[in-house]
Amino acid sequence: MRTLLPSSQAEKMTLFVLGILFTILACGLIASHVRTFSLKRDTAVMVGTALPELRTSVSLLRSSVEAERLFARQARAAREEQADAFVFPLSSPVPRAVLTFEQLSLALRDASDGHFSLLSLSFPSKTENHGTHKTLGGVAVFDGSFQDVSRLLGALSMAGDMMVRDALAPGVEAEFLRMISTDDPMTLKAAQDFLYLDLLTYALTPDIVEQGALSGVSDALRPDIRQMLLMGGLSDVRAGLSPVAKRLKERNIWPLPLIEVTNVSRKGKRYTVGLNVLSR
Amino acid sequence: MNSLSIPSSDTLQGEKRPLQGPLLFAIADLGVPIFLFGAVFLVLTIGVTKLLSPDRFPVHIAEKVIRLSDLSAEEARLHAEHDALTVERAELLKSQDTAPVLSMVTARRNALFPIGSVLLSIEALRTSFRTTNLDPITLPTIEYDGAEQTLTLGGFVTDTTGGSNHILSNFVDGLRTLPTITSVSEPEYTQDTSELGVPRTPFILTLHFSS
Repeated sequence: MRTLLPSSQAEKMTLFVLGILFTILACGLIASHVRTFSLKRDTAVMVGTALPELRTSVSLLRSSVEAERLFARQARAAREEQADAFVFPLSSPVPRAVLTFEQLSLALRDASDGHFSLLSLSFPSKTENHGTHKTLGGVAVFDGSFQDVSRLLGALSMAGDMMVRDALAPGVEAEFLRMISTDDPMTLKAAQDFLYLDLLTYALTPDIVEQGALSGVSDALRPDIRQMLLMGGLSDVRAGLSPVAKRLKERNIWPLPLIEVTNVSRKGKRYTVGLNVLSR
Repeated sequence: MNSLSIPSSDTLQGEKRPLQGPLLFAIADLGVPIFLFGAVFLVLTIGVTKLLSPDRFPVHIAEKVIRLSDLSAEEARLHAEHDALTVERAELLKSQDTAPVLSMVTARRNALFPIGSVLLSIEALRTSFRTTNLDPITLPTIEYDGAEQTLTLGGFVTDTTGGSNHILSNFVDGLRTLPTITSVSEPEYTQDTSELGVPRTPFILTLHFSS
């Protein structure tokens, strides 16, 4: 009777060689598996380290797109009309500029107990066409303190700004959203609403608006964020625009027309400001 | 002469050639056990590598336990979402072309130098030296030249304790930390006496801006 066991020496040798080959193959598989484990562990560490940053980035991008989408749907057309009519008009910019200087001066006069006044405003030169825009040169003469003149010029430097984000220095908006997202992504919506808020509304009650926007932020981080926003441009809004915001709102002088300050000189309490009013 | 003759394998007709040497005999004897060991070892190894795949194991990352396969899947999903949102944002920014005046306002506004903001910063810095009784820094001369991007500040620092030079040096250092100001000229630190007999340091500073 024939059995399964090898009978000849050659078959036994063949089985021996096969056995050795199988063992080598198994060892190779184990080594490969160990290497795969090691590689996967490295990958896990790498992905695990990069993932929070990626999550933050996606979260910021999502909120940014959502805010931009909402702005495009609701507010952009209105802003465009305002810019067309008041900020960078096709028609003569003089009436709007005169109204702006007059009302800003009156607001500052009230704020300084009558120690500030607009002495004269003139536009002696002709309109110059620069291709992309036109400028009309003018001279304004004020009587007042350095503080009041810097407030007036500070308010003028916000001409063209319409939303809170417009008044922030480059990079501040992104840093603000990054800090909010790191602290609590659920408050990103409120932060975006704050950035797209009308700047004059903020200037009227800056403390209340900031408190509302940062109410969801942790107590530890809130002072840092406020400090960053103030240093990033909102302190100028508080110093330059807030003292005159009420009057600008009442007299419907918002947004302000684009005005370039070309020179400033002081003699005693008299300030002479050279300016260019811009139009299309 | 008789000689001992050993039949060689070549002479054996119809028989297989036998293995020679004790080592080969031992190997031949081990053939079956080694084969069985190798086969079972290989099958077990294949089974174990399939069963214990790294993807099945959780990893601990930032106090969270997550399966490696889930981690990779989340990364892929986030990358895909990031790409989709980037495309959408680009589309939204393109749609800003529907607001041409706003775009022009932004461009023109960015080209204007914010001298008002600079003056506000200087005023905030100046008043930071103010105490309840004294406003030490006075600026009777202010000249801003937009074409040259320079601002000249002339004035004096008064201090009853004689520390006007120190206050002026701090004021100059403060000016140098303000954004948009690229350089501030070094003043001459000299003291005279005001009409009221108070020690004071007159100064003229020229500030240059980055356009």
